[in-house]
Amino acid sequence: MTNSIKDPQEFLPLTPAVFNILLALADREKHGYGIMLEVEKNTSGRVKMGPGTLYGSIKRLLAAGMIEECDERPDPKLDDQRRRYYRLTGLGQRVLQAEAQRLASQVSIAQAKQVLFGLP
Amino acid sequence: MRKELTQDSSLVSFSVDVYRMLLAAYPSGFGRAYSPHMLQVFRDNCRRTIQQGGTSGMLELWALTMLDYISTVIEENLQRGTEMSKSKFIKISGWSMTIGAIAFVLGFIAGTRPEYSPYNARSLAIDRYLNDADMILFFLGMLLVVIGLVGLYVGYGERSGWFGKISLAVSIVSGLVTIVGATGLGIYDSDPYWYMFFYGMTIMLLGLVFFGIACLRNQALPRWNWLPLAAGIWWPLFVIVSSILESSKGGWLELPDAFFMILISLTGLGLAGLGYVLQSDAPEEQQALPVT
Repeated sequence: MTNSIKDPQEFLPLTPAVFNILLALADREKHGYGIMLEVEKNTSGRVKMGPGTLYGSIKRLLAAGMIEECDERPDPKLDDQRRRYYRLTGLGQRVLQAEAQRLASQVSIAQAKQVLFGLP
Repeated sequence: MRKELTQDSSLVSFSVDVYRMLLAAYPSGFGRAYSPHMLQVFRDNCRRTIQQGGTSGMLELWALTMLDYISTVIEENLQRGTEMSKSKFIKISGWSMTIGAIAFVLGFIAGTRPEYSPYNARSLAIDRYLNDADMILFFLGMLLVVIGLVGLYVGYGERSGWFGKISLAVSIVSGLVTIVGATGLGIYDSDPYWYMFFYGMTIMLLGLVFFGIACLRNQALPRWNWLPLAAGIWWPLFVIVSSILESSKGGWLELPDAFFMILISLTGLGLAGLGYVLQSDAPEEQQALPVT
């Protein structure tokens, strides 16, 4: 209910940690370590998130209503029952989309100025 | 190979044990909620690192983990301090407003008592003390009520919207003017201080009325959103109505003390109720934490 009235623009720009966590959860729910691995993979190992940053960000994202804990586990047989899984909420999806659009517009400016592949 | 595996395993166990001890530095609430998960993530990371990078990989992992640990321990503890002090202040301001409202009413009662005289049938022995206590009680009452108003601003100003916030800010400033007026009256008993006291209090309560309207519109308080309006309306209403009547009649309006007693008691009751709302419903980590 509260998610529907929040404006995603209020949260922008996101910190790299928050953006990467939301991006890691974009396709499916994951547990903390799964998020950490996905972030490393998505950034070619350039962003290595420690447990403090990871769970500090998760705490804030939960409080802001951008992610939520999953009641159902993807496959209970395959995984440790103690792990907590997280997924994006509607607000989280809108915030991620808005941030991605903001970054894309920055990239398109860089492209127009021929910054991406070196100045002429 | 077997020896290496045992050695690796003990290095992971040792690292996990050290990290478990380090986790105690996080705030207790955060620790209760996330320490087991942080430890599990760290353990998974250690197992992967020892397989892929060996002992040198572990050293690199520890360096990165310590950087992350120091910065997040400071951040989480600072955040906890801010949240706790805000919540605590709101609770204290609630008690302050309740006690202030009682002192305010008692100050008024003391002010209506006749000058002490052993020959006056209406005068009581206690009037000897009450005659001097009225301005002190008003001063203390106003001071405590203003602290309560600041608590309302801190706790619910944002939720009441810009109109509510401005109204409450005006109310707080006017409350401070009233305190200066009460102090001046207690020492010098001169007109300028009387005006500061009278109009300061009127505008303070009027500000509370407008804040109450904003509360009704935005449901800013956790309960009794009508209360700021009910607490503030009586005195300004009396001032406005009596001003109109006096200007049309061309003279002072003579009203019995009992009338003022009801007026001030209603105001005091409303303020005490607001104090109760503040101290019993102080928001604890209700607001979304900033994520950017």
